[in-house]
Amino acid sequence: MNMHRKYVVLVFVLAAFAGGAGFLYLAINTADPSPSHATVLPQPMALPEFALRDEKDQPFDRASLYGQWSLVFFGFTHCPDICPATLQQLSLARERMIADGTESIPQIVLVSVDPERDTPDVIREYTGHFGSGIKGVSGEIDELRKLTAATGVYFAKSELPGGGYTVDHSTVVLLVNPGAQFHAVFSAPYSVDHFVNDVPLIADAS
Amino acid sequence: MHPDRFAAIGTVVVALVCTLVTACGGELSGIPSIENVTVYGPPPASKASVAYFEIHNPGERSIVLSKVSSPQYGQVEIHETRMDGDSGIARMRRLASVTIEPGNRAAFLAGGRHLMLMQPYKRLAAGSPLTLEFQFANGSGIVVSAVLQNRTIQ
Repeated sequence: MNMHRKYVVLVFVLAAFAGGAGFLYLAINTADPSPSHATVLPQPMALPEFALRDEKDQPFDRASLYGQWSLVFFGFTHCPDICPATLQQLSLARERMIADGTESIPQIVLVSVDPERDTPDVIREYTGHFGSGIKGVSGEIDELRKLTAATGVYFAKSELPGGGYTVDHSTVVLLVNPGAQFHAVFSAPYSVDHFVNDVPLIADAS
Repeated sequence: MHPDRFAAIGTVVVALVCTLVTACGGELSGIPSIENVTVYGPPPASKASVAYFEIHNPGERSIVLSKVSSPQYGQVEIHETRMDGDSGIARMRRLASVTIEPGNRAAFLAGGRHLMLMQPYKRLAAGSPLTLEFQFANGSGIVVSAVLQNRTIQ
């Protein structure tokens, strides 16, 4: 092969390499970062009207969810295991998003599915333990069911042998957007990283 | 053999055997162990503390955890949060006992099996020392010390 042809081949190889490297760079840096754990609804779903009370015994309804993102969890204060563990994770996630400078910091809303025992005073004392940015709400069973039925959340009182009761309940965490629409759902098991990673991605993409 | 020398050799042999048993963590004798004990106090307005841990059964036979008690609490119960994988519904139920197969570990972790500790005899703050007494169906028992913690929020 004469020098001229060798030179042409070398230039062609270098050009092909540069082109491949450039394509790879663009592919990596323009890839769509999708949420790793949350399931985003194809279309956000408007929540129904409902009438609950918050930890200050003030009305909490659909309008209370306008203007900010909300992570909504259903539980009760007598739950020793999954409920405090989840609230701990949500609170830690919110603290990390604040520390990261995340633009859309969600409020955390605990919806108690045990209105019999979880009065506003009880809820205020309970949620205050988990830090700021946490609201606790509850109310009449019929009003709770308006919210849970629309979002596919289950809860049911279950009597315990020997007395007392527990409340079986879904463990999902709902992400509600500033338009009070059901936007995405997190399913257990989850971690602090799931919320820290996915909430900003979903908010930025909306 | 001189009696003194015989006694000295016997002492050394016994010491070596005891050391070997200790070094193996009781595995030679199959004694179960309770590890990684964490006890969280209840959030305000809640009633029950919760304990998580791991039971290791190195023996050749199944063991059955039948009861747990504590001098700090009037009532200790074994519970399990059962999650329906499809629906994500959590149901907590009391367990009468837990069987640990030979060579296995039984984990008591958040979202699964756990102890509910209720009716404290006195107000317990984070840092309070606790004693948990694990009783097995074969009559054996293990006493474990722990420290009450608050869940870390920050």
